[in-house]
Amino acid sequence: MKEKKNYKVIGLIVVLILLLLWIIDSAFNLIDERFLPSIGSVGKALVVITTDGYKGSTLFGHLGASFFRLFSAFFLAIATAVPLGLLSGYNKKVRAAFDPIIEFYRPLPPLAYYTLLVLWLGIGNGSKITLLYLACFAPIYIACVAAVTKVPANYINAAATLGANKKQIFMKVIFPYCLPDMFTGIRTAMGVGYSTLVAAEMVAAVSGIGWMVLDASNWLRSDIIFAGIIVMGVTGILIDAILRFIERKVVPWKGKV
Amino acid sequence: MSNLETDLMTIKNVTLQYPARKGEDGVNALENVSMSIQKGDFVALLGPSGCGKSTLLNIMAGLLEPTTGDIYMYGEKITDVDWRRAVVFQTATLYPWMTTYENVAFGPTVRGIDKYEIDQRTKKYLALVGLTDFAENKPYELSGGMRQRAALARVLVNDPNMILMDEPFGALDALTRINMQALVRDIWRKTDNTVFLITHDVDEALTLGTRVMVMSSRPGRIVEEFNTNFTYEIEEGNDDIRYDPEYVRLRKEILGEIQSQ
Repeated sequence: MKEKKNYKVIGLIVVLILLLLWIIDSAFNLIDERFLPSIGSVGKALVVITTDGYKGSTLFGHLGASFFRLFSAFFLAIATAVPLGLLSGYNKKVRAAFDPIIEFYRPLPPLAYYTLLVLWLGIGNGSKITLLYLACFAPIYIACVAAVTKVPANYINAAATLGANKKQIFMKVIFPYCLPDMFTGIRTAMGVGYSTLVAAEMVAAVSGIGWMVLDASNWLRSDIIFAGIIVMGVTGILIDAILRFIERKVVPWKGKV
Repeated sequence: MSNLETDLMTIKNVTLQYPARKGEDGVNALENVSMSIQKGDFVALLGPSGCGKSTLLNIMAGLLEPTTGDIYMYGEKITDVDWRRAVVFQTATLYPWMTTYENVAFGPTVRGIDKYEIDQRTKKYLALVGLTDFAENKPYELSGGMRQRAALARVLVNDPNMILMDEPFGALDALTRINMQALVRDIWRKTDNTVFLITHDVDEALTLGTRVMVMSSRPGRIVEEFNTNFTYEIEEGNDDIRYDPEYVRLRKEILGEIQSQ
């Protein structure tokens, strides 16, 4: 426990050193504002986009638009990838049907097929949510398939010899056994989805935190870019922390068996 | 000798052949195994590792279908798993998402037994294996011996007709193993249950079993059977039975039998 704390301190020190370097740079104007904006102007940009907003929406408006897309896709992915993944792990025929499609599209860079989605679904939220959905789907599906296939035979045999029927074995043994891997898949999906978000907001968007950063880069507004990236980074960490918290509540046995 | 109606279990000419793989012949795991087990027996099956002991146990449990031959319980052919034939596996297969209590109550719960009765039985068997204070702990918070005790309680709570044990103490340290053996003997006497124990430890077989069977190496056949009563003597407090000339002689004979395989 004590050692773990010490490692965290190392990380904190590195972050503080970087921050200190930035403060020194800002104080003495060492690097051109366009390349590295001063800490003051980034702070000011943060205040301005929070209160006055950036091109029609406040920071929370942009975040809200992004999160609507991200979480719609994320929950849709969980709702479909979990049952399909478990079924694929359980039934070789279902798996044979879905595996080739998923194996094919999973390594593709999202932007490669995003144009197609826009052609098919239009420039609204539909194509954006679908893109994020596809990005989130694969990690959850794959984690579920892998989890089901590695359930120890004796876990199932024990339940069967104690009197459980097939449905009970699934609900009381296979499903809970898969939960830890499922959560790993869900957390990976959130990471992949979040990083695809900027790509999704590159085309025909007028809102969203990703769009805000891209639009700011068109005008060389380094202060807004920095502010946006910091907000994205912090919210990313926050979302993962929330998922970890839920994970600890739902699967307290993870890593202990 | 064997009587289908009165035997608890009758095994008739059971053979198991694992199907041939490409370019290889099929492997005979069991060859013509027959035995009859009566209620109250404590059968200890000894044999070198890989001889097919576990295969036989899986067939008895109904987890595996024999290639030829039949197996009956009270005259009824065994075709599937059944809670009446409980299995204690080599490592406790307790579910980490359940507390010890929930694990022990698993059988009666899935069988839909009355809630009050489940509670009564679960508490009774938790007490019997000395885990009352650990009812609310998760399996990963228990020691190896405690886990195996919980696994034992989990099968006893179902009140099965027969308990099949697949080297249940193999993964435990020596001291814990001795305690577990005493516990199993005690429970077998108290509940008047029937036990079929697989082991590769001659002393374990001789100090627990009333019938000690020796299996040959693959393909597994029953090559010898001994009736013993050392387990009763130990139960009466005669711990020095291991130095009894009869015990020493039998031990030597069985070891010789196994080594000649």
